[in-house]
Amino acid sequence: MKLRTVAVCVSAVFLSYPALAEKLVFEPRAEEGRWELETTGQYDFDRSKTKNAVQEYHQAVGYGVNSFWHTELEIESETESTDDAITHFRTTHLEWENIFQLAPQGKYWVDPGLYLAYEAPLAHQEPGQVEAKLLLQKSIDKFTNTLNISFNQEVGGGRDPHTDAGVSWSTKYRWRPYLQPGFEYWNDFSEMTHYLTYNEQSHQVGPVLYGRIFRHFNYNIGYLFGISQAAPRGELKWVLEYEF
Amino acid sequence: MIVRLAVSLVLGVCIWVPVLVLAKTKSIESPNNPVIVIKNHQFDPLQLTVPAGLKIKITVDNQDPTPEEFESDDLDREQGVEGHAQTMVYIGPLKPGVYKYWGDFHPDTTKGTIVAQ
Repeated sequence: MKLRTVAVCVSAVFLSYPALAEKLVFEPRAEEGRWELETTGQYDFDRSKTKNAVQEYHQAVGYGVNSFWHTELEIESETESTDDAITHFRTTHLEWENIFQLAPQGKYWVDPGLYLAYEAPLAHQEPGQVEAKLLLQKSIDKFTNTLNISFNQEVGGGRDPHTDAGVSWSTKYRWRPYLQPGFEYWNDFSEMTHYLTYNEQSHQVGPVLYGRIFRHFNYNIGYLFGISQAAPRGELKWVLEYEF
Repeated sequence: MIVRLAVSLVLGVCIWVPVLVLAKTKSIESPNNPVIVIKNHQFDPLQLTVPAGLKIKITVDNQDPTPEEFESDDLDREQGVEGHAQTMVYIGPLKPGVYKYWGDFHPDTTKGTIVAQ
């Protein structure tokens, strides 16, 4: 029993790492000629020293190349940890993100899109990462539901040969442009070829507020509760975006 | 691993394409496709009446030289259109009511409403 507990704790430490992907449920939308400056962040709370105060920040500039392609360049910074403590904070990756809107909004029952990204490591000895997501969105009355199905694969030297998969879901109620309450669910299955139990996977759910203020600023801020052992007990996440 | 990634994507697409095709056949589209013209940073007509309960395909014809964006929180739509160009905006099926929209690049003058009845 003790061995099992230790195994779960150890895997929780490692599995929480890939769960730290940018906490943003992507919409299958591209707006031609639209620039955006975006900052996103997340801060974890947990009783474990290695999972508490884990942080990740992204700063990005994006542009709508045409009506079906939005591209973005991003810098990622995060805390680094050893087996028993968080050691330091550093800028780790440069990321190139692309969102492809596969059909005009509302043409089909769901709005489909595709997300493709490459994360280049800033340290030479580390692997890069390719990420692909299927983006699906469906509005029903004033509720907008968005589903992302993600696949991650490390590339380059020292890579993990396994492909990770995950799912994220967002539902928001479009009450007013400046205040749209909702919730998000985040799951990281981890390796596709190796079945992990529920507690070995990362599952998070919690309330999120979305909205647009002063016409150009989009925000979302939320708190996700860990509902499996691999996930942190709590996570504050936020996004602020300036569109022009 | 790239192969596995590609296989996963293809599988995902295989699952969703039939759903999309089925879904397309289920929604009833209005036989009339209205046109909204943008000229001098104003919509014409200012108020568009459409049938409730049907999917509507609206042609947005931007006759200005500058780009514009058809945007609506009520309809949950954001659709850009270049200067001297057209685009399609799909809305509905709508419940009876009034839905506001505007041009996001000139929101003070480019305003309109859609009435579903």
